Amino acid sequence: MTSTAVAPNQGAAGVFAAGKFLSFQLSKEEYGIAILKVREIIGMVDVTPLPRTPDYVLGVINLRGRIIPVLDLRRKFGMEPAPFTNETCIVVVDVGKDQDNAFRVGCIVDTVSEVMTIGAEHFEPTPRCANAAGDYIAGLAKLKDRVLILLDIERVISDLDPTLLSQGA
Amino acid sequence: MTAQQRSPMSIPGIQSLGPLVDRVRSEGGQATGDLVREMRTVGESARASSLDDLARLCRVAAETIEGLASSGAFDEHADLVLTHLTNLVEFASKCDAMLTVGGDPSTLVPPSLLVLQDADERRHFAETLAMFLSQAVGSMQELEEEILSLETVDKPEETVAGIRRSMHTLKAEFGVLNMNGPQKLCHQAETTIDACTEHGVPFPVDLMLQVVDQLKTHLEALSRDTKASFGDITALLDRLRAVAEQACGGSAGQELVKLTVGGEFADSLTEFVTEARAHLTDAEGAMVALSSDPEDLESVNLTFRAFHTIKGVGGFLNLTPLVELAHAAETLLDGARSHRLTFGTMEIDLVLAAGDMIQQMINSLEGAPGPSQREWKLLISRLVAAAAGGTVRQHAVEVPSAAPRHEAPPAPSSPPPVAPAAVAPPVQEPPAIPPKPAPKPAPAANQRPPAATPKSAPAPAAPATEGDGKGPRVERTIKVSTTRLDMLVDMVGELVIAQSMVLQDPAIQRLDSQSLARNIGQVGKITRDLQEAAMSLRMVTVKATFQKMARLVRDVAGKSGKKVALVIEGEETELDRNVVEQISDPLVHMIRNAIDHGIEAPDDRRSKGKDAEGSLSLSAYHQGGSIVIEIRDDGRGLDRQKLISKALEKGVLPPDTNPQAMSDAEVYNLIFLPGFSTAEKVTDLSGRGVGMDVVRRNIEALRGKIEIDSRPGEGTTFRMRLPLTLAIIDGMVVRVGSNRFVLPTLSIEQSFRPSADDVHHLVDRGECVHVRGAVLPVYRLKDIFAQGDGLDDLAEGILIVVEVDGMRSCLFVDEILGQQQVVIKSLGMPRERVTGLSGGAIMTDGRVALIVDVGTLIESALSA
Repeated sequence: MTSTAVAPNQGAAGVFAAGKFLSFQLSKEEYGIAILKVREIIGMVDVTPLPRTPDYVLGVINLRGRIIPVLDLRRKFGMEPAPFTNETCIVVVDVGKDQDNAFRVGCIVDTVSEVMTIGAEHFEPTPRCANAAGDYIAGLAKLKDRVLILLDIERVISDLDPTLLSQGA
Repeated sequence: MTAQQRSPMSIPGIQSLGPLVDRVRSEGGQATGDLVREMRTVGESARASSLDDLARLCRVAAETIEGLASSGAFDEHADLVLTHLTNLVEFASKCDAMLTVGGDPSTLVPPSLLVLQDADERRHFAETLAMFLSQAVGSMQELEEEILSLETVDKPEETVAGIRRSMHTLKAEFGVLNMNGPQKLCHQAETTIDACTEHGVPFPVDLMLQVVDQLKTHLEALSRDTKASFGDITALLDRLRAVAEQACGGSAGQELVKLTVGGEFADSLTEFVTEARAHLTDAEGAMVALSSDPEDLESVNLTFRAFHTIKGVGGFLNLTPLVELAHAAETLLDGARSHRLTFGTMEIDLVLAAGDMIQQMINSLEGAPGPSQREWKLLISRLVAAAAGGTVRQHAVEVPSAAPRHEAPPAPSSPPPVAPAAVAPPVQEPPAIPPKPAPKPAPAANQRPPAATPKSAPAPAAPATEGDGKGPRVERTIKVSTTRLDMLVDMVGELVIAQSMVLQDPAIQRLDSQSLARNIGQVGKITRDLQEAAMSLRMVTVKATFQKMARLVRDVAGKSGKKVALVIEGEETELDRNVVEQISDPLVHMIRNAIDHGIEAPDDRRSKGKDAEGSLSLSAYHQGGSIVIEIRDDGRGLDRQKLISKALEKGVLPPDTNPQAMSDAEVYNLIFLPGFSTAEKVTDLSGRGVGMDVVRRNIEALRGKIEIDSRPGEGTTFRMRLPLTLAIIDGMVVRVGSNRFVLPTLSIEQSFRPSADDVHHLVDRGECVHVRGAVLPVYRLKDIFAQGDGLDDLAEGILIVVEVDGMRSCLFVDEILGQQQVVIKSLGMPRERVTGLSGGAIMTDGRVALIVDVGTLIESALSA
């Protein structure tokens, strides 16, 4: 995990091109992920627990005939667990080097907010912080009235399979 | 046989073509008779001089013009035809001129074939062309990148193979579009690449880039004008050829036989390949049958027809070397048919070898290396010699004498690897390529075993000029990629789930409507039918695999000096294609073992009062939702004592083992252990102790099981139990706490509710339970899978006895919910395989249930 194409701390603009981001709520913070990684957003469904996997792997779900794992981002980032509500969503993302071999995974978030375009001028480098989610932050986007934490979703998922990054995702 | 024979004979009739064309030009359709006749003559003499391009052009032109004249439509197409004729005459005279100076006319680029197109066809052609262009431009780009990357890439071999494949594809596509020039260029490029690869010569990057440039220019021209003509490529072709020849260097005769697909049926190549393989399989089976019954004329006939059909269809595709070989084999078989020859082992071997080589040639059409020119020549000459019987003609012996192992025979100077004429066999009559495409497909089809599944009989396409398909109809097949099939099966699986979700929806169930219930029932029925139909698409019979085994039995028996009669039963049994592909290896090992270790030598057998000829039976049948494949021999059987002592000696069994306590099955299963062999000496057939280990692994990979039955002195039976398909398993759905798991029924022996008295706790060794006299360890799924809400008291739940590798153990679950077939799906985890799970299944309520992999589950429980 040293010097891959994704280098979170070398100035945000180097990581994320300006473009569209999906913003979502996790605990009290607002996060954003590049819309190109997002495949779809579905409501919460029944999850079958998957034994013998890290605790943040909540289980697997049936996504129209394909079984995909879902990750509980709260747990992944060491936040307090919260009960699922009507607002709880699964953001389905595709990560991996190409469409055919993409690893599809669902991420549980408290609620999704909006899709917004963020220009390069808004990007800020990541401040050093002790939050467990720190490793997975690609940068910050400073908007008019708030700050969006830009998540490096590939890094989150690469914990499950380190080869994802080394193959140059 | 090349230049010397050709040079004096310029093609008769060529000179008169020009004036005849002029006459037609001035007089119109009535004057075509003479031209057609002359055209045929020229075509035939061209054929005799191995000017295949010219021969084909003449034949097609003659047929087309004749057709037009008789239907009175000549004048309508006069312009096109006359332009074509002018080109044709020009090409013919060029060929002629080339011959008279002793050159090789096959280097000339022929004009396109005369193809008449009505409006529909023109549109179709334009569409095909447009599609081709859009793809080809992209693939040219890739090709160029690949060639360039050769200079930097680590493993050039793979890239070169990729380039060669791309070239090959392009060649075929140009062929389909009837663009002879580009086709020829691609072909020569392919040949050159092959030559370079084979002789370790560096890839001619610059030259190939020129080829790509040339093709690109042409593609661009085509996209502007569909009739754009291909530039002059003679120089480029010459350079490619020079590189190839240089690469081949002095190793003439080593180069591989090259098949050039051509002719107006080039696009039916895939069909040809499939059918030829089927024919070869039939022929092989028949030959093996013949070896057990030399009087079996029907087998000879069947084989004859197989070769004849291959020859005929191969002829349309201009696969000359293949045709010549098939012809030679056919001649030999004809000898047997007409009772001139008796067919002994040697003849059968020869025919089998011919079949193998044709197979190899067919494989080479798909990119595999073909046989070498020398092997090819040698085999043909042996076939010819055998066909001639005792009275071997002088020239027939010449070639074999040139064949010994040392350096190559005096090869024709400047060996064009493509020119088949250079190595034409010394057969008296020229290879009889039927002038009319109709190698009696009907009798061949009738004679096949009636149950042969929809593999269509050879249906040489009707001549292009009369496409209304008279004559017997053959069932049509198309090739579909397996990924598409899998997708279909997946989607149907979804449909089944969605249908049952609708059915079970409370809102629907509240509606009290008879018609709704009826309609839903109807949808359900159609859905199930659809699922069955979709699954059956993947099913193929085991026939081909079994026939391969027949050949193996014959070879192995011959090598080990034993006599073995093979009985095949149930070869029409259908299995999933993937399964069929993967049982071949295990079968080979088991059959080898059965013959080498099981069946005794003839003398031995006689002294034991058995028939000197051993019997081996190979059968397939359905049993309870799975397929059983059985291999039974009547040999000496497995020797319990010997197995145990060998196992003790090798340390496979702990020294304190009590042999009496081991069941027969446990003892027999020892032979599946890696490195375990009781053979006193390792032969080239078996005895290394690898085989049976492979067998078990392969079968387990297919989620199958293998059982052994054996009686000393009476024989051994191996029984493979295989799932019908890989995508679906029979599962027992169980509940643990609030979650469901699927256990493969195959590994389940029984289930029961234990009474508290049967359960024992062993200090440090967990729990065990008494089941019918045996003490089995108990594993709780609740603990293994951390299902907090599962039952704790064994007496309240159910114990399921499972068997893995001959070891039985119990799994504890809360409840058995039922048994059902489930479609196995990947869990979608990046690192695949979560220990103890083999995948997931989508249940009828749309939720996922996990499928337990009993083997790794118990393994992990043991190591935990």
